[in-house]
This record gives sequence, C-alpha cells and structure tokens, in this order.
Amino acid sequence: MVDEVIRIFIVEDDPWYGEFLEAAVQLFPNVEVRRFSTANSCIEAIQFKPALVTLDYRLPDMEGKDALMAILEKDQKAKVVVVSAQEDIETAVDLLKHGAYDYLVKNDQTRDRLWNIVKNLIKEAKLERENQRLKEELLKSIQPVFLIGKDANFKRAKSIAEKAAKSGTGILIFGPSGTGKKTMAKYIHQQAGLASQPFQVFSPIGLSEEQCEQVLFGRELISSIGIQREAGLLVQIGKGTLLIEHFERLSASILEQLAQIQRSKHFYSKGSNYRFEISGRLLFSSQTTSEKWMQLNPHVADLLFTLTEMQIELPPLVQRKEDIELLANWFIEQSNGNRQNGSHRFSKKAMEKLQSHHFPGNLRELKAIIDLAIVLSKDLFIEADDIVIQSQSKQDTQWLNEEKSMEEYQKDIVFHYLDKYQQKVLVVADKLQVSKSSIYNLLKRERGSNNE
Amino acid sequence: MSRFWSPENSMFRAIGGDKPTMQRLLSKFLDEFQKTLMEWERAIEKKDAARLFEIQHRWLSGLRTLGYTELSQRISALQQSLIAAPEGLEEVKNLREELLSVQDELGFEIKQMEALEKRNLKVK
Repeated sequence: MVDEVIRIFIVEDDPWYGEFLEAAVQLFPNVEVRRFSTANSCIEAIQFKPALVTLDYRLPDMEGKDALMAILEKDQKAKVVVVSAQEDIETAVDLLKHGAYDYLVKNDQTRDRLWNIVKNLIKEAKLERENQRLKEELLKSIQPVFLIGKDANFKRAKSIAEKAAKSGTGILIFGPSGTGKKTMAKYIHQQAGLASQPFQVFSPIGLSEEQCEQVLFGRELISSIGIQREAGLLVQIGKGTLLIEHFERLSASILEQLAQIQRSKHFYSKGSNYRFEISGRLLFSSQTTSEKWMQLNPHVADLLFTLTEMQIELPPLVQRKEDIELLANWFIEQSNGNRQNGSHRFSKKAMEKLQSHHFPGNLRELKAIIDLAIVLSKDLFIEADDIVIQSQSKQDTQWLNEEKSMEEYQKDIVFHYLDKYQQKVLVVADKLQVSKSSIYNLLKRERGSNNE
Repeated sequence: MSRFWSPENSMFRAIGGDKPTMQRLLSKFLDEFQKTLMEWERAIEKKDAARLFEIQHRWLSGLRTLGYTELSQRISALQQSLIAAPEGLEEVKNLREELLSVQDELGFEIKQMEALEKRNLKVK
C-alpha cells in the first residue's frame, strides 16, 4: 500500500529558522512542506488541509494566538504546533487551551520534539487509513436485507418503511409471530443509511424491571476507586438502531423514560447524574396492534403514540398466498448460497403442498420447512415428500404447550376473536356464545392489571 | 577532526540530518549572523535600542537551536532591559566578545566540514 503524502505547513518569518524546520521534517519520507512567512498567507492556503501547521508565535502580521484561532476557524481539525522563542508557561497553557496541538520552545530540543510529533502524525494517519479500510470491509460484509413479496399489504408496509427510514421518526412494527418484524427493522436501519452503524435487539422477556433498566440505560458501580460506568444499549448503539421487541412487556416507568429520551435526546444516570447524549434510533415491535392497546391500557397506548409516529403492519403469510412461491425460492437461493453444483428446485407437487399450508408460524415456519426439505432431498429436486409439515392435529394443539392458566387461555381466545372481528365486542360475544359483559369485564380486568 | 561531527555535540544533535543539510544550515546561519553582527555594532553606536532588540530577537532561535543556551539566556534577559534603554545598552555591549567567539566557532566548524568533504572526495 502506498503511503499518503503528509502535508506540513511551516509559518515562520525567520528564513533561517524556517529552513531549519523544513530540513527537520523533510527527513521523513512522503512529507510535502510549504513555507509561509506571514500568518495570512497560511490562512489563505489552509483549504489544502495540511496534516500539521508549525506556527511561529511572533509573526509580522499577526500574534500567534490570533493566527491559531484564525486557522482553527477555517479548519477545526487542523493540528497547529506553536513554535516560539517564548518560554512563558502561561502563554503555552493559554495557546493549548485555545486548541493548539502542541507548544514547542525554540531550542536545541525543538527538532527532536518536532520529529516525535510528525512520527505520531504518520502513525495516526496509518491507523486512520487502516480504520477506514476495515470499515469499508465491514460494509462489504454486511449482507443487505431484502424484503421479498408481491402482496399488496406487504408492499404497502415496505413502502411505509422506506419513507419512515428516511424521516428518522419512531416506528412500531407489528404483526403475528414469525412475520419478519426483526427483518423489517433491519431493513429500516439499512434504508436509513446506517448499515455501518450498530443494530441491536432488546427483548424484555424474562427480565425484571430492574434488569431491563440496566440493559437499556446502563449501570454504575461505585467502589473505592471511583465510579465505573457500564453503558446501556441506548448508548452502545451510537448512531445506530435499537429494536425493542415486545415493548408492551416494559413497565410504564421505562416506557415513560424512553419517551422522555426520544424527545430530549439525553438522559442522566441514576447514581451520579451523569449526562448521556443519545443519537441512535428506537424501533419497537409487538404482536399487538395499537388499537388493541387502546382497549387494554390507554396509558401504555398513549406512551406508544409518543414513542412512535408511524406504524407498520406485517400481514401473516396465510394472507400472502401469492408470495409463498417467491419466498420459498428466495430461501432456497439463500440456503444454496455458495454451492458450486447447482441450485435446488421444487417439483410442482412440492410447491402445491407448500401453497396449501396455512403457515401459523409464518415466514419462520416456511424457512424451517425449506431448510429441512433441502436436507431431505435426494438430489437438487425437492419432492412433495421432502416438504414435512407438522400434522394439523399437532399444530392445533401446539398452543397448549405453553401451559397457561385457564384464565390466560380465555383471555387469548377473546383477544384473538377481537382482532379477527375488528374489536367488535357484540360480534365476538355472539361467536363465543358468551355475554358481552363478560368480555367487557375481561377488558376491564386487563386494563387494571396493566395499570398496576 | 571537528568536534561538530561527534554525536555528543549538541549542535550536531540539534541540527541533525545529512552532512550537506547541516553544512548549508550552519553556513546560512553564520552568514546572517555576521551580517547582523555588524548591524548590531552600528545600532549600539547609534544607541538604537529598538533595532538592537530586533536583531537579538532574530538570533535567539538560532543560538538556542545550536546549543548556545547560556548566551541565549543572557540575551533573552537583556531583551527586557533593552525595552527600558539606555541602561540595557551598556550590558548589551558586554556581549561582544561572546558573540565574536560564536562567530569564530561556527566559522571553524564550517571550515572543518569543508575540509572533511574535500578529503572524502579525494578518497573517492
């Protein structure tokens, strides 16, 4: 790799000293030196972005401090080393406070100190280039997320996601389990041009409120050696994206804190009141629609509206029948990846079998079926027998494996029907052959427990 | 053998680099120094404190760089009293001998360098 040229500006009105400095830095390879005898001539040329400026403190047209500030005003990143005959420490401290990179007194040590500065600059430049190269490699290795589908509802969701990605607003992604909420979040992250930034997922399931707070906001350990801060995900993501799954499982207090952070872009740590600046983006996902949350817990729904300005609904796969073949082929393509000996294909019957299934597990289930079919297939042709679908009766009773209480199952059934019939309580009461008051009571109980 | 070429010599360490660069820098400094030394003497005669201040300030960087630390410290201290001339002027006069010895020493170093260079060329 060819080393980049290090451009150094020497501002010195003493021709002999200017030549001495030039001779000193010219000993490094790939150094390009330009000399100026006035501050103004250097300021005019600062657009050429020198890696280093050595600035004489006493110049005919300007005092060192004024020249330093004028250079920094034009290029905030400029590294200006003030080289002066003055040994006054106060002057040196003042210049360093005003942004000087270093302060050198003109004496028999100047050359050595200047050498060290240039050596460090070359090292820094190499590290910066290496960092840039690694970033570029990382970017290449990041797989772009594709959202595959022709279904009108799905395409609408995708279109909203693309618009929302650019707007930077909070987004709620909802849809049944396995519909690709995380993939959609990653898609938004990439569409927002944040592919090189971190993408993190947080789920509060199985965590206490205190644990959730620690994971999200970080924690402080106070010991005899001082305060040790562990940054939470909100800080760790930097300018990236944090997807909070099952957000409804977070306490109202945490949701309120998140809403506050969303507005102010900062928060204070609980112990030492340390201020953390937040520049990342929050996405939320849930299996529950906001309308349902309005019924269940208006307070949570209210917070949800504060946190998210847009909502994206992902349809279940059963409503995207036309996409099954497209998605199945996409999964095959992904799975075959780098295969040298050709790609798998579905027989007509295999595809018919797939299309007749109603996929309660949505995309996740389709992918699992295809992964297994690839393993089971004798050659590159996937037959109907290779498509293993769990028997209907097995699937029908699968929900019982969760071992919930009777009350919880009742609740699930009622909410399922409310979703199915657009929250029409009378219709649901009729379908389930129960009184409408029992449904209202259940909703009331649910609101109560969520407000606790 | 010139003592300049010893790595222990502060002048050698301060300038560094290759021989032609060192020779060039040293010669240039001596040229300038000789020119301004005459000017310096004239300024003393004319009691021109402002010009003295300017000349001496110009010498400071070079003298310090070449390792004349003690002399440069004295000049530096005198710069303050020069502002309040003419008291400072008398003290400035006392520098003459030392300045002349700097001139001689630098001249000697450069001659040694040139001699060394000629000898090297002959060997080649």
